[in-house]
Amino acid sequence: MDIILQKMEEFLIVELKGKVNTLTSPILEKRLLELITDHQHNLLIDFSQSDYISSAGLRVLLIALKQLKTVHGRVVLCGQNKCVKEVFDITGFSQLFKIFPTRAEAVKELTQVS
Amino acid sequence: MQQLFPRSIQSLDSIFELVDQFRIQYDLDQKTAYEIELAIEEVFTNLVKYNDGTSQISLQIEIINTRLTIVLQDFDVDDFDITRPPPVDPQARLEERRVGGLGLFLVHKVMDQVEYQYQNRVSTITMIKKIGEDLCSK
Repeated sequence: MDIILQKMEEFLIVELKGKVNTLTSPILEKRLLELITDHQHNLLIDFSQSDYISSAGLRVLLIALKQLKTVHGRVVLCGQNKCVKEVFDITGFSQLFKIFPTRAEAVKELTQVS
Repeated sequence: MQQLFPRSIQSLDSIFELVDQFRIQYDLDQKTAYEIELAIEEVFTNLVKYNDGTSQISLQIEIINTRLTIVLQDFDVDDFDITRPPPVDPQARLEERRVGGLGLFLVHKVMDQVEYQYQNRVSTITMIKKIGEDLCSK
């Protein structure tokens, strides 16, 4: 999995390329926690180039969300395919995260509310 | 197809390749392929994490008519039923959520049947799912 970062004025785009599974999620965890420590508290995680997530990936997202809450940060997700969305729905993660079909809608959310 | 894999998380790379071959062989749709990969990843990871055997772990996947069967066998291990997940409340709020523990919950959600058997120090996890059409007729 590759993680591509794109700094915007008010937030940071974290684009995931490849599967978020047991093998790759430690890389994502390390990167997200580094970003939060580095005061990047508004994140947009784009799944449009990632077609798979397992519980290992969900665990990392939950850790990041909990961390961001403590610093009044925000994380918005976008671009999930049907299967990834279903995993979020089954586990109730769809209720925990703000999720948008497209990056444009997620950007709109982050720029409007911040 | 059946294959043995070293007891290591790194085996997941080869396992995913095997699942992909299986997907191509049976022309599986994206959802079914996803669910097979997810179920195997979660169970295999738990076997590596919680069993302390040294033998390789066997994985068998087959489709007979509309019935998909996945069997994982772990040899020379203690009796430990990893198929009983801790309770998960999908409605729980963020503050009530503990980190982790979702893997086997997901397995039970994407598979129709998950069974654990223990005999002669062999742990066998069988997962069954009914799939849409008779793929063997293709």
